[in-house]
Amino acid sequence: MSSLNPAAAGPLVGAPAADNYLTHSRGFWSWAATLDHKRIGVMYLAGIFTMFLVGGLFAVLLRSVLLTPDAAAGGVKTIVDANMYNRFFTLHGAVMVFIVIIPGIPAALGNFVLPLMLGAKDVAFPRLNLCSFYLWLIGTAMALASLYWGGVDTGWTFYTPYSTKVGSSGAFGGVVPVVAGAFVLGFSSIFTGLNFIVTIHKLRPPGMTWFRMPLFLWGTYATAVIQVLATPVLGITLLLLLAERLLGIGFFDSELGGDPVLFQHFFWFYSHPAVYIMILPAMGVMSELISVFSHKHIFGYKFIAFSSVAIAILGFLVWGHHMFTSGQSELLGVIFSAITFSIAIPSAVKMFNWLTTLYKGSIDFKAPMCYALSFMWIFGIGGLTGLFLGMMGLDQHLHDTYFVVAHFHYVMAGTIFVFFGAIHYWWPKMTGRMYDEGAAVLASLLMFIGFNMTFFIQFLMGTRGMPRRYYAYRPEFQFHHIVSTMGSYVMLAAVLLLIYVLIKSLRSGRPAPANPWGAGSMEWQCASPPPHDNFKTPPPVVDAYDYESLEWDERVGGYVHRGRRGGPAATH
Amino acid sequence: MMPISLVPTDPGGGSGGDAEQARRGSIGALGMVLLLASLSVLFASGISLFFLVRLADGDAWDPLPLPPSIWIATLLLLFSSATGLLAASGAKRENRALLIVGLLLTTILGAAFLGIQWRNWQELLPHFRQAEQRATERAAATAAEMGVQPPLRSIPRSFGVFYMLTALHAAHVIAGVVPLLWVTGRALMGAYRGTKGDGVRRVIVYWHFLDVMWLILLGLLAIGAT
Repeated sequence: MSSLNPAAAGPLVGAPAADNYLTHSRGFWSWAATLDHKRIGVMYLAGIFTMFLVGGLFAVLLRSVLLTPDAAAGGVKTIVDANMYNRFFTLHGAVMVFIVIIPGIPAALGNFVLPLMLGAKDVAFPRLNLCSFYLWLIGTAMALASLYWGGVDTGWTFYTPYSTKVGSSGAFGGVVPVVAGAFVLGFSSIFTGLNFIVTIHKLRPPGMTWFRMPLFLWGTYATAVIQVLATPVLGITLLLLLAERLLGIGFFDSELGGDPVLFQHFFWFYSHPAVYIMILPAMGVMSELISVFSHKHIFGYKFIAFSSVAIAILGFLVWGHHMFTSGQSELLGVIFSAITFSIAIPSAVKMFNWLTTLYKGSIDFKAPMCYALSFMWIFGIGGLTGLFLGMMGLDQHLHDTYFVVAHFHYVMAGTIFVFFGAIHYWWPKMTGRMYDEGAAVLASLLMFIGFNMTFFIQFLMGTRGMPRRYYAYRPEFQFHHIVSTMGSYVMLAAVLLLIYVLIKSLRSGRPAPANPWGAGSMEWQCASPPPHDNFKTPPPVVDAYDYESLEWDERVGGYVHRGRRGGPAATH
Repeated sequence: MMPISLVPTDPGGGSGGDAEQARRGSIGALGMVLLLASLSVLFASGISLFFLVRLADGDAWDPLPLPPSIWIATLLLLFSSATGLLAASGAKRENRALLIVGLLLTTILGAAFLGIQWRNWQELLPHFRQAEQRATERAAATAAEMGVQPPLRSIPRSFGVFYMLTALHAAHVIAGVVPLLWVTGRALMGAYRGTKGDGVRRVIVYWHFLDVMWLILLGLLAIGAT
């Protein structure tokens, strides 16, 4: 039965159960060959976080390069030459997009939490799940192997003709391994999505109807649909790119009769929906965090649920807004622009519902909530500047400037805030340990300040004409670049502090109770960390956002159901 | 990949029984539907690529002679779908002889299809070399016009698309023969006794999908030959 027996355990109530998923079996192979979704999630998290540090390192390096204008423009020589700088920003982008953010929330946290939230024992196809993880590992290794061949300097979008002709020297270059790696990562993403859709359809326990599911599951479901239906197009695109680069088939090269804009169509047909692969799971986590830390029922459940689906569907129809300046027909441009604006509606539905949930809630400024509130600010700015870029006329001016860089960091890199918030939120569940709240909140504030310092000023630079990706720039932009780079150093400090907080928690954190935050969804009904098979019997399905039935129990150090006070907090 | 994906988790208490088997069958079936949806998008983008290239090339399109044995390959694949139906019905009716004969025939016909496709690619090579010569000359002329370095090598786009699409299809046929071998081996070793053989039937569904895709590709190639 329950691990949490206060009568027996005395003051140490909430100590990790002797038999949980972490201690269930030991040894290297018990992890490497595990079929347990929780262990796979933890392995993903470790891998993705490590790659986040690699991608972040490239970011700090490229920002440091930009501290001074080029020597030719009257500045002093920077740390590396222009070719190396190109490699820095390309690897930063490719690593962050394909390896970190796309799998970040769904594969790492989704894997851990999704079956628990649903009240299931595992995902539908556990072996396929493990296979996804190894594909991620292989794809990542291939992408990093490009460093051996001199790196890749095409930008993360692999635009032709950079990627087919110029690129890194030699026919092979760094482009081939990184493109092949992204191809393999695509398979990983498809299998994860497939697994989640089947799990949500088929493994819901009795009583868990669609509209009782926590909103994170709706976000993950919408994401999974995009993963399954859009990723194959990226697969074909990357194959064509490899065929052109290695064999000289002229799909995209105009000398061979190809069309470079064709590549952009194919690429963005996947990569625009991929933006929603990045943000929908984050929005799902947001709905959980905002409601739990306001201790208030989520407002407009069905609107939030359906807005995820609406975003997923509309997301397929807007790819052309990346090509307003690529010579696409004006009529097409107008259509794409109009559909692009319409995506603002479901996005705003979410924002207003979160705001309304906050209204008159009793807000608890724990670290996950600080990250969640940061995301509302950041996504607000990112979303609204998207409207500027969606206007065909204004986009002529802003295209390929720092305005675009700032915009997509406010949207996509904003999801990193939710990723961190989610790590803190589920950390007690994953590890069975609490973290140092004060230091974690400080890290989140530093992160928020650093982020806005880095990227807000890039909007100003962009409107004044600073092009993105340039190594040398005019001296009048130096002040902006210095502020931006200082901001990136503040973020670096925040990430280091965050790592310190998490490591300290692992070493000496207070044992976590089953439900430290007073959340209503199912994963908080089993012990922290959860037992190997999650639930011995499916737990009773309750409203995930009903906080009335929970109350704080001092002896457990967490929340328990009313009437079960002093008794077992876990019902598995 | 297939043998991995065909094994759903054990969602309930672990006891067998018809209801449990039906539940696991429906989990696998939905997984297969999603896999085929994903693959359909893959082939659909390949097909749209064909049309885009064909339209863009206009008169510059190098016609692509269809090797005669491509019709034999098509017949083999159609037959293999029919024998696949036999295997599926054998599985459903728990007729082991029908199941094993059906699976063996489907696997052999599938492998034969791949062999003939290999021959087709070889047969096209001389035509390909000639067309490559022409394409390289064309590219050199364009490069001279644009005042840039000519590319080292230039593959005619029609052949490029042909090899790409047929190779893509062949890769998926290989990804079908492997699980066919797997289920055939298991059936020979006595598995699926007293079951409806859900795993077998899913492999056959995938096989029919490949058959349909091949017919569509063949139609495209016929268009490309003119």
